[in-house]
This record gives sequence, C-alpha cells and structure tokens, in this order.
Amino acid sequence: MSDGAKRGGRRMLIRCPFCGERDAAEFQFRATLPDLQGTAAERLYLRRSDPHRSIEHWQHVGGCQLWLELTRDLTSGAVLEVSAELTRDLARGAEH
Amino acid sequence: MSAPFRNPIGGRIERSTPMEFQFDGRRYEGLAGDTLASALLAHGVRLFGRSVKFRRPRGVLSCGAEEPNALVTLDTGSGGISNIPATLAHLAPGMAARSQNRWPSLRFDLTAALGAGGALYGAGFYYKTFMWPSWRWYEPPIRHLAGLGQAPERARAATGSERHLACDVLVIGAGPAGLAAAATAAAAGADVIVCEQDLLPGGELQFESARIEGLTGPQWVERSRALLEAARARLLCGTSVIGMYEERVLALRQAEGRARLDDELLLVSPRVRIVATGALERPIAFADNDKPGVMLLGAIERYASRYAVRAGNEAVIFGNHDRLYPAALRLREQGIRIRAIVDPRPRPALESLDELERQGTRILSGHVLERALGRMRVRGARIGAIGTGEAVELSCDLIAVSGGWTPSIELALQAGAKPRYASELGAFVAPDEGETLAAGAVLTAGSAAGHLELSQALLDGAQAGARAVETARNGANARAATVGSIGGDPAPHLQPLWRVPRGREKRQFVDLQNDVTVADLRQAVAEGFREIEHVKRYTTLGVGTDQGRTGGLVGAAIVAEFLGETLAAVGQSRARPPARPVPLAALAGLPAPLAVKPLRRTPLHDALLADGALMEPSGLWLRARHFAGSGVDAAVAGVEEARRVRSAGGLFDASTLGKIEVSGADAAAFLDRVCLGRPSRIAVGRARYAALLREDGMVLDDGLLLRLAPLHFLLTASTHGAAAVLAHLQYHIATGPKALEVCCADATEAWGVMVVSGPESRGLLCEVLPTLAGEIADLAHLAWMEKEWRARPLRILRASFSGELAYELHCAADEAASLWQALRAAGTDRGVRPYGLEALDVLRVEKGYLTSAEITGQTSPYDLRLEPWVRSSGEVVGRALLERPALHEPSRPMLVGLVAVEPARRFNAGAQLASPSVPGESLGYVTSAVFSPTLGRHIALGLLARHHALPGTRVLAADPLAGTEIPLLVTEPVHFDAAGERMKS
Amino acid sequence: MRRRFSALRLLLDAARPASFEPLWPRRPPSGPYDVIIVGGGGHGLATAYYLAREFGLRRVAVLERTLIGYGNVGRNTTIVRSNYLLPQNQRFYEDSLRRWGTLARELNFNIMYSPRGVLDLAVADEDMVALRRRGNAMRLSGIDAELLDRAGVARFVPQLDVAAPRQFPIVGGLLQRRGGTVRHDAVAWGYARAAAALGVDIVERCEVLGLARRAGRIAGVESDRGFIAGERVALAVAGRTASLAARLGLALPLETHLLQACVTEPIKPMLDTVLIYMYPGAGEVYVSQSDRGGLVFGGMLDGHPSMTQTGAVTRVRDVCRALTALLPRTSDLRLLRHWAGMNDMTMDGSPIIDKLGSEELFLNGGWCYGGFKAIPASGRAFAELIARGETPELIRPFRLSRFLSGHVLDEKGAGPFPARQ
Repeated sequence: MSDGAKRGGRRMLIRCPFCGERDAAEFQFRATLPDLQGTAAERLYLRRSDPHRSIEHWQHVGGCQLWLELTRDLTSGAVLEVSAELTRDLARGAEH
Repeated sequence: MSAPFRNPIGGRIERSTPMEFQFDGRRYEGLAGDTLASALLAHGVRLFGRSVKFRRPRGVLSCGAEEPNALVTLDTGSGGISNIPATLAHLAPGMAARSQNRWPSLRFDLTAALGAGGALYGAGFYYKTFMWPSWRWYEPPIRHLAGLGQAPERARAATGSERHLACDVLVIGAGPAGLAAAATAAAAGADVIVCEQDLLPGGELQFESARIEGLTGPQWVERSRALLEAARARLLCGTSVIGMYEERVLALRQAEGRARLDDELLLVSPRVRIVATGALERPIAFADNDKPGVMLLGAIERYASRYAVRAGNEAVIFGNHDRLYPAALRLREQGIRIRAIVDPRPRPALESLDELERQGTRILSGHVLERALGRMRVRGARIGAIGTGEAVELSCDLIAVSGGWTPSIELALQAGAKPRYASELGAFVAPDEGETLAAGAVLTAGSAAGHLELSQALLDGAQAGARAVETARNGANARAATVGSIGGDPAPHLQPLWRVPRGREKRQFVDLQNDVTVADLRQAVAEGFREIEHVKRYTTLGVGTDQGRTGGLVGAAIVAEFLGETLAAVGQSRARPPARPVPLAALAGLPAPLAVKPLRRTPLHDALLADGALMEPSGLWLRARHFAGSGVDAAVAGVEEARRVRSAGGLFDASTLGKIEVSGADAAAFLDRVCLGRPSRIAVGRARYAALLREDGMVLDDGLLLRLAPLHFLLTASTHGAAAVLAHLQYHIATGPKALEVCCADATEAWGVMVVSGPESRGLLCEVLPTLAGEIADLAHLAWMEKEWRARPLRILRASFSGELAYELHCAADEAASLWQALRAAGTDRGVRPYGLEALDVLRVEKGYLTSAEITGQTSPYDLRLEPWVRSSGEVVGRALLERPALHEPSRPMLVGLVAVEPARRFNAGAQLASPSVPGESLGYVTSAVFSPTLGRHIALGLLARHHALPGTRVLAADPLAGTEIPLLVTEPVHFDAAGERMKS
Repeated sequence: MRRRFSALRLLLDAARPASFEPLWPRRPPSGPYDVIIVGGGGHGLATAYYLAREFGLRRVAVLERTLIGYGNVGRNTTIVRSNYLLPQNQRFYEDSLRRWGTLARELNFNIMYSPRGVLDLAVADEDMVALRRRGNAMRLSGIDAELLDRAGVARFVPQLDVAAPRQFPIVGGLLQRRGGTVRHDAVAWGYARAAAALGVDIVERCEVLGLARRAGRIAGVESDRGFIAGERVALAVAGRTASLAARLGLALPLETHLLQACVTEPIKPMLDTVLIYMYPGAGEVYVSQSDRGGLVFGGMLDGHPSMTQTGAVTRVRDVCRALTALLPRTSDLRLLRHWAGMNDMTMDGSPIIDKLGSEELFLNGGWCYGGFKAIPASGRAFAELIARGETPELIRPFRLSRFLSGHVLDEKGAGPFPARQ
C-alpha cells in the first residue's frame, strides 16, 4: 500500500527559541500564512499553500506564550523551521 | 479435582497454588500461572465458544494475544467484560467466565440454525438484499445477531492511570533479539526501557530447545534479565505497545495476574525505538479447519512447556517446513502421541524423521491434510496424496498446523518502515532501510526483520542495540556484543502453502473470528475486488479484534492466487492502531463520571454557597444561577432577584470576567488598532466601552477598557470570550504592521470582582468603606479609583450592566471573600441581597446590553448597532471586511427589542421571527427572552431582518417546537430608562 | 447488462458459485470524454452516476488515485442528518436526506440507511436556546425536529442515565428522527456499480498530475497513465483538494486538517440512536453503534493542518474521556481501531461547489468533516452544474465568491479559522 510510505512516525517536536525542544502538544495553532497578494478579503480567506512547506503561526500556550512562525511539511508532519520573528503586516482585515 | 491433560511435572505454573474458577457455571481448578485457556485445556475442555456468523463450534487456536477464536466474557464486580481472549485471561482465584455467541447454551445452540443458511451468507450478502421495502424492517433483528459479547452493565470500578516516561532506547519485545538489543544498549550506558506483552520475558526461548553459550533458553533469559537490572534498564512485562504516534509511543500495562482492571497507560517518549516483536505462526486453510482441536503447532508446544498441558493425546501435524520434525519430537516427550506428519514437500533429509518413524509416526511427505473430521471437536483427519489424490483417514484428537511464520511488523510500519517481501519466509518483513533508518528513529530486529534463526536474531538484536545507542547519543560508539555458540531449531526451508485446494471452499476458514472462508475470497475477486484493502472491506477479512494476525496474510496470499498475481504484488493489509484492543477507560485515564476537565471556581465560591447559591457550570466556570429563597425555580427566582436590584440593590459575583492588562509605550496605539472607538482618547482614571472585531469583521467580544496609567490599560472581557481575546491581542502584537512595545497579560485569577448595584449601592459602599465615602460619592459614571481593602489592592469602578447605579469592586483574590461578607452584612438591612446569572440576564435584556447570546460570531458591529463606534475608529483589525456588500443587505438581521403584544404571553429565546404575512419564512430569531418585572411584561432581544426592524412593526415569534406562534411588536433594544438616568444618578 | 441483486438471485448464485460478476468492470482510460471526474470517492461517483442517469452524458470517466471508496467515504462515522441552522444548508442537506431514503432501491444496492434518530444533547440552558433556535429554523424549513427535555431524552435513549451525577448534567436535546446512519462502503460501491452499468468508466490507480490545455482551453488531464482527453474536468477529491489545488496553482479558501474516528470491539446492541455531545473545551463526542456492533465515535479536529493521516494520540484520549463520561458503561469496552481522515476545511465550515472561472473546470470540495451525508445531493447538483453550465438554486449559496462578498455560511460563528470550524 503506497500510503504507508508517507506516514511519518517521527515525534512531532517544536524547538521553542525560548524554552527549547518541546512536545507539539504544548503549542496551539492559529493560522496558516496567507498569500500576501490581493485584497484584504483575499488575503484573509485564500490559501495557496505548498503541502511540503506550510508556513504557520503557533503559540507556545503550554510554555512561554511566545508566538512562533513554523515551517512544516504537512505530508510528513516534520517541523522544518521555527522562528520567533513572525511575518508582519499580514493585515488580516486591517485595510481596504 | 483432577486435570487429566496436565502433565505431572514441568511447566512454569505453581502447582502448590491451586485456584478455583468457573466456566459457563461449571467449577474447575487451575494453578497459579495458568491462563483460562491452559486451565480449561488441562481439563479436556475444547469447546470455548461459537462463531459469530455461522455459530460453528470453536476452540482455542493459539496461545497468545493473536487468538481469534476463544473469546470469553469475564464476570467482574461491574458486570461482564466481553471479548477477552481466554489465552490472555490470567487465572485468578474465583474467576468466572462465560462463552459467547450461543443461545441457550454452548453445546445446544439454537441460533446455530443460522449456520444452515450459510450458503446464502457469502461476502457482501447484506449489500445485495433487505432492500424491500426498506432496511429498517430488517435492521433490528440483524443487529441483535451481530456483535460479540455484551457491554458491561456499569462503569468499571477501578480506573485507568497515565504515566509519562522518557528514555534513550525503547525496545519493543523481550524475545532473543529484543533482549540482545536491550543488553547491548544498556551496557553502553543508554537509558533503556523494554516492553514485553507476556508476563515472562524470553519469547520463543521459553520453550525452544535452544542452547546459547552453553545455557538453555530460560537460563540465558535469566542472565539477560540480570544484566539489564544491573545496568538499570527497565524491563516492563505484561506491557503491550499499542501504537506508534507522531509524538510518542503508547503502551498499556496490565497488573499481573488480574483481569484487566488496573490498566496503566504509558506514554513513552524514546529517542530511538527498536521493534523486536518477533513473528507469529500462521495456519493453512483446509476444510473444517475451524473445528475445536485444530491448533497452531507452536501454541501446542507452548501449552506443553509453559503450562504442562497437553492440548490432546493423539496429534496429526500438518505443515510445510523442517521445524515440524524437532517440534514433533518435543511433543512426543510431553506425552502427545504423534500419529502422522503431513508435509506437502518431498521428504526432507533430517535425522529426526527416522527417530519419529521408529516411534510409530507416519511421515506422509507429498501429502496434504484435506479435512478435519468430527462434529463438535476433532476426531480425525483426512489426508490425501498430492499426485494421486489417494486419501487416508486417521483418528486423532488434535491437529497441529504450521504454515510458517509471519513477522509482526505492524508497529514498525506505523512508525514509517516500509514492508519488503521475503520469499524465503513467504511473508513481509520490515527491514531497516531508507528513510526511517536515516532518521534513526525506528529500527527493527530479529524475526520482525526476517531473522528467524536464533543465531541471526541474536546478532541482529545486538547490532540494533548498538546502532540505537549511536543514534540516541549522537554518534557515540557502542559495540554489539558477539554471541558465542548457538544451537536452535534448524532453518525452516519453508515452501509456502496457504490453502489445500480440496473439499468445500465454504468450509475452509481464513479469518476465524469473522467466518471468512476461501469461498468468500474467491467471490470477492470474482466481483472485481482486486486489491487486498478492498477485499478486506468487502469480506471483513482481518477486521476483527485480532486484526487478522493469524489469518490475514493467508487471506492475502489466497487473493493473490485468485488474481493470478504474486503475494509480493498484492501486499498485506495494514493493521491500524491500536495494535491491541485497549479499554476506553485506560485511554481516558480519569474516573468516568468526571472524565472531562477540572472546573474553575471563583474566589467567592464558598461565600456564595454559604448564601445558598445554586451553582451551575457556565463554560468551565461554576457560577451562581440564582439563590435559594428567591423563588421556586430559576426563572421565578431571577425575576425576584432582578426586582430587588431595581428597588433596593444586589450583589453579584463577576469574578469570571476576563481581566487582561495591556501595557507598554505603544499600548494606546495598539489598542486603537484592535478596539473600536479610539481607546487612546481615554483619560487615566476613566473607563469606556470597548468592542473587538475578529479579522473578518464580526464582533469578537466586548467589555470595558480602563486606563490605569498613561501606558497601562485593563480590558475586561466576557467570561466566555476571555481566552480568545487574550490570544487575539497577543497575536496581533506579534503580527501587526510594525513591532510595538506592548505586552498583554491575563490577570483574571488575581482578582475577585463583585458588583454592587441598585439605588442602595452608593450608601452601602460608603457604609462598608467609610473612609472613602466622600470619594465614592464623587465618583463619576465610568470613572474608577485605586484603593485598599484590608491592605490589599481594591479598584472601585462605577459602571453598570444593569442600568442601575452600580459599582464594580475588583479586590485582590485573597481578600475578596471578606469584602463580600462585609457587603452582605451591611446590605441586609438595606434589602441588598446577592443575585445570580438569571437576574443578570433579566436586567441586561431590559437595558438592551449584549452577551454571547447576541455576540455569536455571526454578528457584525452594524448588526449589533455599534455603527457609531465603527465610525469613530481608525484602521481597526477587521474593519476592512465590514464593507463587504452582504453585510449591508436589507435581509440581514440586526438587533431589535421585542415585546409580546399581549404583555402576559410568554415566548422563548430561540423562537424564529417571521412576518405575519409570510409565517413560514424566517426573518431572524429571539436571542434572549425574559419576564421584565419592571415593565410587567415579557420582553426580549432579537436579531431581525433590517427591512422589518422598524419599531412598531408586527412580527411572529414562531416556535413550532413548542407549538406556539405569538405576536410581537418590534421596539428599540433598550426597553427601560433609555436616557440612562438611573445609572447616572 | 448488470444483474439485479435480490435474495432469490443470491440463492441461485450460491448454487452456481462461478457466476459472480464484478460490481464494476475495470476499464483503462479511453478518451475523449465529455466529463472527466477527478476523485472516485462518494461525491465523484455520485456525480458520475447522475451525469449518466439524469443528464444523459455517457462519456464520463472517474479517475481515482487509489481505490474506489478508500478515502473519506470509507472512513467516516457514517452519520446522515439535515439538522442545520442556516436555511441554505438546511435545504441542501434535506435534499440529501430525502435521497438517502430511496437510494438503496434506486441503486439496487443496500446502503443500509438507518433512520435511528440523531440527538444533539444540551448540557446547559444556553445550549437549549441554541438548539431551540436551530430546531425552530428546521421546522420552518419543513424539516422534522423535536426538542426534548431531560425526561424526553431519558425516554428516547434509555441507555443514557440522565440522572447520574455529571460534571455537565444533560438538560435536554434536539432530536431529528429521520437522521441516522448509512453504511459507508456500500455508498461508494453502490454508486460505482450503478454508474458503471450506465457506461461510466471507473479507473482506479490513476493519479491526475495536472490539467491539459490546448489552445488555451481545457483539453483533459495529464495523469500517471498519460494524457486523457476530456471537454470538462470536475474535481471532487475532498481531503486532497488543497494538495491538488497546489498542484494546479489554484488559491482556495481551505486547509487540510485531520479528524480522527474510533471504533470499539463489536458488542450486542447498547445504543439505538446517534448521540452528539459537544461542549466546546470540555467534552466533545458523537457516537453511534454500527450494525456490526462496534461503537463508532469521533470528536474534534486535531487542531492544526496535517496530511500525515496519523493523528495525535492525545485527541484519541480526549474523545475516549468524553465518551466514557457520557456513557460510563463504555469504560470497559475496548478501542479496536482508530484512524485519521484528511478534511478539506473551509474558512466558514461550508462546502464549495462551483465552476472555476471561464474554463470548463468545476470544483466540488471543502466538505470539512460533513461530506458523507451530502453525497446524493452534492452529486446530483454538481452533475447539473457540469451538464448545464448553470448553477442550480440548491447550490448557489456554495459558490466560491461568497467569501469575498460576505455571504459566508458560518454555522458555528467560528470565523475564518478552519481549525475551529
């Protein structure tokens, strides 16, 4: 069965820049980074995500409360990058 | 009581500790160390239950967790627990078990008549009939025939518990490879945990006639155990790993020797996992191979060596490899007479054959076992020559089958390993290769990796242990210990045989638990199901509690044959987690009636109880609905308490309000971006209404915003919305257009909040805080001051959610109760008493104030008549999307007040609003409805289409659920004191 | 010609075991097609069936990456209902529920529609207000709904001890008696068989890699089995919508999230209805008992985007916690299997059925976790959209433009957060 190969068995760990490597259960997902083109409504609603590089915003709710920008491979569950510098001015609805 | 099939010596049972138990009401005696299966076999019991579909008599097939057949119900204090494999039920004194799927009794089963309809009952049977006139006519009786045992009557008495463990290396399985891996890793200094599902370590070494470096199998196991102990490795027996997950490994540990009541759930976080789960013997399909007395050869050996139990007296062995012969000799030593060994292969050149023949065993090479004879149990075997078809019938009471071994690789596959077909085994293995090896997280060792011979398994285990240490310790070196001389069973020289193509295919069982036969598989293929996962769904092959551990691969191979493809191409169906059925309570890990989440209590909780509060959950908080003595039920009490607030005064616990502090050089600028109404214009010492918008423009929450200092604000959020508001604020700090110097903190739990409202509130407050009387008297509406109560911080805010003159007192949580008591004591003479949520709702509906009943996440600030606040705001989060056309359509509902045309007519929140001319079309709904003691009529708030929202318009409160349709008049949302004179007085 | 299934047929076939024929024949793709449907799940197969049966299009292919019925249609909790709040959703799901009632006879395949009732439980009076609002809205739309008080719940579900001390006491519920369950595998197989009998090509193990355009127009698809010609291409890939959209360069208002489902060992009947017990943040579970005897139950999404199909075990723990709290008798039942399905979660929790731009490209997706019950209505309406090129009234609310115009269908009021929908 071909699906088998894609099932990641790795532990999903997130390296919080403040707290160190922690179990994903301590973190809470909020949003996938939108396309930064288009009108406010398009930016709010539309996604053009690469399944192998999904850029997301998570909060370390079970730890330091820091917001993080994670780059994840959705097909394997692997966390590729973690950054405490979030992409700014997403303007999720703040301008026309 | 004698146990005729128990040998006088041998076994690892405690002969000095007899235990009485019952099966189907009959008393037996077993020994400590027995399972229910071994104890019953010792008494010659062969019939354990009936099959679910055809109700055929069934016995025990295996000796472990893979058992598909012998499922029983164990009686416990909390009723019966069904579907326990008798092979896993460790005998306990007084144990009582019942057979399943029979009525009225196991031997005389009337439902067996169903089996006679078996000709009809092929794969996919239910999909093709019972359609006329409809399925619901047939469903109830069919449901009653399906299912294995009964659900327990009550919740379990004992509860599960949960433990989190971490280690460098987790070894799954304590057979030869697992022990070798664990010993190597532990010796190199790694922190090692070994999980073994059996109560004893050693796996096959417990009974194989192995010699390792001069030690017998059990001696070597003992030595390994001592080595592990010395290296502080943890060997957890009776612990089965039930799943490999993204974040951890889940294992279930059962208390030794007891029915599964005190399960402990282990969540293990290892750096490296070694899967050494061994291999399971598999059967061969032949006619009537489901008869009690047909058993796996290895299981028979295990019953003999571990429990000193003979599964029969005269056996015919049927298999396709060289290990049949040494096994036969060992069974002979245990007192089982071997009448014949049936082997389709040409006669192998093994010394043991001659010895067996000398003892009178017939060696029938080039033969197959065609059919098991007997009705309720095996009485003989029909054996045919492959070439000539000539058949003989031999009498026997036991048929031992061995079709080879299937490596147990499901955990390795769950962890990402890829299966590879090993033709020499006729099975799939999960070797360490590719991605998983590179990641280093999962290794397989021993039989699971295809190393069936003992010497190889030990070597492979030791190597896996060394590699695991290297990975766990980032390249640290560990050496695999070399193992000296090893003698074990010979290489099998297996020639795969899956089914005997003679006799009726409808009687050749592949999946014993679900009664799936060779005929079903043939039919599924004929009906176009060409892949094993499809066949599995269509026929139910391998979907039982045993997940097809014994028969699954056999089924796949037979499907491959019918498709004209190789087994390698067809593949093995995937076992999904859990690897073994787990009690829900063990997973839940909390006592059942409470198994949700802890509830929160306010600092005033005990004080409210003392005042007779009726507490109810509201969100995760416990809050006072109303107070005893106010009325017979919540509604009456609420009206009475509300009336009292307006006539004299009331006290309310508002501690659950979210209290979020926002501070920093950019606090005001930030709040201007997230709150309607330019918070930066609030003066220190003042407060103002604040509403927040979600990114899509809908109202997220509202509350009051207090400016504590030039760079310091306090936002009170609703009880329900507090967590979302905090996350919303923090997120927009992190992602706003530029980095701001501002931070948010949740101070909810630090304060107890009580509201004193009503005409008497000012006088009461001045009485309780006499030194502040002047300042209180001068405090303006929406102004606050910072004071102390008993040397602890006290914030006094004049604000109202009732429309009355009112004060919010924010007091340090540890002194909040004392302030409440002081207010209570002083308030009694003034007629000021506590009120609850019910009265709060009456008061705020009278005033048209909003709660989560209106702020539903579906309402915009325009819908809620907050347009002036929007207009006075700058670039607030969510504002851009407010201009979307749909949000301004005339059919979109907006907030209105509603009153019954006949003042005494009650109507319900949740009633739909409709025009009297088109009563079937919804124009909105009633969000909150109360009886207003002030106005003496039923009033409400609602959301109603803009084109109908003009005050004076007539609408219907359509409540078909209640069977009512009540005429209403639309009003302004504020029903009472629209000018706000009372609260500003 | 396909033979009809009946009890008599089975008896005759039993006597002649070699007489079975494939439920649907295996055919290689052979264009050109009028319509190529990408995705052999419930929606794709139903669309193909209605295209052939009601709109007379016989040159139809269903291209399936894996196996028929191997995606979400074969791994859900099998609940069918039309107890929605918003009138647009009510009309659509009610259309579906009516079709479920007659589908077995129409397809000559027993999909086992079991109208055993769907009961939403309330644990607080404010829940009762929400249920009353929803129930009354349903009734105004002509859908059956009954509001039960605590005693009514006890009468309808005697297995549920409403008097037992609970952290969140059960105060009532909203019952839709015509709601219930349907045998999921049978839906996929039944539609596949019926569509194939009408001449539809069902092609398994055929992965679509991209759209093929000739002279600026859609000319078919590129697949791992080569170019397949077709005038119109319809996407119905449910949980794989986001990954297919990424491949086709489409920006859509959806994300892929995991939803887990669980089944216990089979036991004798202990629950004769569908219970839904959702108290956000505390306990969330919905449960029914399959005809085979297992309790089938599930809860909330895993909470973050994922395509791994291995869910977080902590979510399984939460849902077991909620179930044992609701029905303490289940505490000694054993979990037999659990699995995760990929859900195409939209930004308002409602589906998208639309023609994409001016091309002959159609999308049916965004089913979130509710796609199974929608299959008959969705297939029928999608077929009409493809065949006629005009959006039928029933699915006009599901157009893609709703997000930009503000006509979102946010049943829960959760906002543009797919993880919370």
